Amino acid sequence: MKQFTRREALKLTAAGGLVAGGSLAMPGIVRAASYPTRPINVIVPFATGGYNDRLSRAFAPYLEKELGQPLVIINKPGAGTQLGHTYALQQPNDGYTILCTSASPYIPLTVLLQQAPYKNEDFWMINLPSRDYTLAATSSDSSIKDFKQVIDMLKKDPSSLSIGVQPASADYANMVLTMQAVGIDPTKLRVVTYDGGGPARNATAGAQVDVGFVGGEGFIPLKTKIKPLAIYAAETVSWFPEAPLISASGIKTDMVEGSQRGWAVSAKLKAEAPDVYKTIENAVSKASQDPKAVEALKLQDLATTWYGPEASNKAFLDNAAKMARYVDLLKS
Amino acid sequence: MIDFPAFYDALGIMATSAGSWGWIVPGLIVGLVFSAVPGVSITMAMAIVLPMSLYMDFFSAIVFLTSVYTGAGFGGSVPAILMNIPGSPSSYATTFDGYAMSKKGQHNEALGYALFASTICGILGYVLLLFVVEPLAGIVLKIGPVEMFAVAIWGMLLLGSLGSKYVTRGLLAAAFGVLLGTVGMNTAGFIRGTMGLPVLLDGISPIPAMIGLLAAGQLLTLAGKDYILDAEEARSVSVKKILAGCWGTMKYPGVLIRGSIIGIIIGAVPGVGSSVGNLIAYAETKRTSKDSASFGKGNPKGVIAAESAVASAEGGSMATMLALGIPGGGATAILLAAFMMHNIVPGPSFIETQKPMVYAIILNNIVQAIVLLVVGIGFIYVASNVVKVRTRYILPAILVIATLGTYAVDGSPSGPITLFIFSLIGFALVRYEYPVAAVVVGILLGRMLETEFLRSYQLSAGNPLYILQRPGAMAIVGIMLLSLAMTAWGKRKQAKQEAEEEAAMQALHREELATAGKH
Amino acid sequence: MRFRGNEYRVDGGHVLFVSLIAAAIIWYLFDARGVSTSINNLLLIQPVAIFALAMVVLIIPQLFVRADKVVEEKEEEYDPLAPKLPTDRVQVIKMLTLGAALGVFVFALNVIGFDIAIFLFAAATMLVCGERRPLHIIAFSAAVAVVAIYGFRALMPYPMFTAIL
Repeated sequence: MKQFTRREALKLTAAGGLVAGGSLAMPGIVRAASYPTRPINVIVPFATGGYNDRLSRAFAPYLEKELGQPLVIINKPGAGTQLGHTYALQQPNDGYTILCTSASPYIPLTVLLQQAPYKNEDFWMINLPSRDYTLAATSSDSSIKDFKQVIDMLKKDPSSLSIGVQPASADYANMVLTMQAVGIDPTKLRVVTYDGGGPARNATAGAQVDVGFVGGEGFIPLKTKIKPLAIYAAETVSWFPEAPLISASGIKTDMVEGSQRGWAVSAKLKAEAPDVYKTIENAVSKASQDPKAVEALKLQDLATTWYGPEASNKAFLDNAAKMARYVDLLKS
Repeated sequence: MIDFPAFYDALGIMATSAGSWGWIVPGLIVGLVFSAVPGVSITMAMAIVLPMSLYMDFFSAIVFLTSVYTGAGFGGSVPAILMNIPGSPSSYATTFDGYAMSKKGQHNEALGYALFASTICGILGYVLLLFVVEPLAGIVLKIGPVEMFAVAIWGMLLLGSLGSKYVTRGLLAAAFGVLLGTVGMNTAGFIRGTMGLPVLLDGISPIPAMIGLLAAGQLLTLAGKDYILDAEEARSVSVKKILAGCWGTMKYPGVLIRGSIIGIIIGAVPGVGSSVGNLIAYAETKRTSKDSASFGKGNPKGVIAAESAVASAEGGSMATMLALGIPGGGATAILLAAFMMHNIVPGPSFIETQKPMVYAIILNNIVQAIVLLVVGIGFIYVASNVVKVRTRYILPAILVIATLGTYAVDGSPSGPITLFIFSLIGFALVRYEYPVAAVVVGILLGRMLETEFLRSYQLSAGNPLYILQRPGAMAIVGIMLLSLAMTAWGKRKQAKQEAEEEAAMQALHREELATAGKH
Repeated sequence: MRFRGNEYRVDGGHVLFVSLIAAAIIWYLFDARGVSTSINNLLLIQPVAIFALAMVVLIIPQLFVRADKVVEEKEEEYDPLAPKLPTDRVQVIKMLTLGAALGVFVFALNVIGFDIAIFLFAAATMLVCGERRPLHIIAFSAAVAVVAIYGFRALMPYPMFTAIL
């Protein structure tokens, strides 16, 4: 085979266009211009059918349009997202791996409780449009009227009501913080543990437990079967406006945000190939604000709000820090 | 009860969307083929086709996906019967008598029995669903941990009917299996026995473990044989025999109905799925049968019982999904996602406002079950040909497919490695006469046992009298005890009868000897 | 070893197997207790583990078998719940070789590539099963590799590491 000299190569590329020729002088920009040249993998660290999976699939056509390459959704569930997140970080930092994940609470949780082989800072949030909050709820035919009544009953006898909650979750932390704020010993409560939001919601709707503390969004299809008591959000939640805020019950308690879901990449990609990263960020930004995307996702109860990387990373890291502060509460 | 105006509207939907009917046959074939690959579960089959269905209109997408579901419900029994590898945990009980029938050269009939049981009970499940879709949803939510724990125990009772030469070894194997089933993070968030491996946080993957355990005793021993079936004349594929099996299913209406009821109820309970249903249906049928001794040795009733529970569980699971928006298992979770991707959220409001659509979906599933009958016979006919192929060709292919199937569970080498480790354990179990089935059942039920036991304990704050507040749990325990008592009584009667017959035979024999002596 | 006038011998393999099971159960119990001794952690596994260890104790007498016990060589009806391993020497060797090949295969998948590993494993299995014609072995193993790789690529969303295909 004929060996090209550098000069010949330059000539060739000059003839073929600026693209590769420029790469000798300004590698970053040119790589961005030629990126992407093949399909991009979207890692979803959950099984098919969950919120992130639906979000990624519904959003994919609009993101594909902006990126000019097809997206391949790869579900990597397991070990509370640790397997999927580890897998994503192990891929080359070339921009062909994007994460669609519930950054909070899962990244901090796997770091704090499972000794996951990564740090919160290893991930860079592009946009976290979907926020979910802990909802305290009871079955619709329950005799409990409001959250204040729950607290009063528990104050009198901490084992008078059974409480359904997922251990080692933001919901658990919020529940314990509330109990501490009102002076109830959390270890005396009759806590029933569920290994997922779904089972905890079913138990709440079916009155298996008296009160459930679990992410509110998943309750939407079951709205008629439950009575919302208190939602752990700072202001009225658009997708559940009838849920009273926790502050309305007169309890002053610190809280962690339930879930922050959306799009992320490895922090290394942003540091090592800033222009490739910028291409992805711009594409996510444009697709998020594409009116067609907004409309299509709204119909499926999926979020597209564009907060941008600064706000998203701040929200993520703030919440992670809060979870680290309450790590002892997370350990049941 | 049936809302007739809505029912007529549903017939209208069925008629106007005739184009979507075309998706039934491809869906069934996809389901059959995928689930016949050992290691590839129904859930995985549906996850694979879900993205495809996004490009169809709503009704077509649902028809296609539910057809895959229907096909996959039966496909798993094909490798279970022909090769003793259950395609998924839900066809485990099918192997007991299905493979035994194959060994006797009755694989055609066994597949026929399985197919007919599967379709009849699939239809039965959906017909019942048509009537009770709403009330059932209400009942499902009332099923709590105590009831589920009773169901798990019921599943474990299967072990009693497995019968082992050494009781102690059987019990050790079962306890060992249960412990293996509890490895990983439990429902209260404690992490045990993972040796620091993240893949074990969710527990030991049951499909690779099950295939590994069974492979050692069956697949690897095929190496010394020329064909899967020893007898040359047995290696036939005959539509006539398949149809004879199909027809023979009708002789056991009791088995079909019992299996269906067990299947529907267990299928409707979120998070249990058909993997327990087939074990309970098998154990109950065996226990209440007069010829229970021939179970596990090729009794068609065993095949029918197991398959009927698997097929009818589909209807139960769909009921929960449609009426509550809660997935009963992995497959309905994917269906649910498909609904949502078409901007439809199943749940109480969906069933009220869109009743014709709900009926149309149910009716379409009944049609699918009928079509499965035809497609299934063709599929069985093709698949049965493995008995004619020499092991030197079939064995490498099966082992490779099974290994890759376990890789496909989560796309990591942990699947194949689990398969290998458990084949070593399985080898030792068989060598020293420990029942492999006890370990498999333990692994399949261990997690459910612990989870529900723990929640029952938490709910009751440790007070066993709590069960008195749970009429459902008491009913389950009551039926279970009644069934056990009736079996014990039946066994005694049977033993007495057998003893009498034996005595009569001996008397006859003596007489014969006496007459022979005279000559 | 003599006991009540009968000669007994120890079944070494069985002793090893039971010891391994017992060791695994004891390790699991201690591992779980090390995490937490809370009832939420031990409710089921502690009693089950103790029960299993009690069974191990009861099995100990079965580790001794009568030396004069005649091995019954009776062709029994097949029972899938109590499968029998072959006793014929050649068959045992074949089975063990195949088991070993499977072990090498699963660990080689990600090292030498799925395609090559499948090809070699299929060829080894055919050899073990008695195929001796080289052309048949090569052609069929290659076919298995090609069909398996392309088939599973279509079937599952995960990438496979391959050397050639």
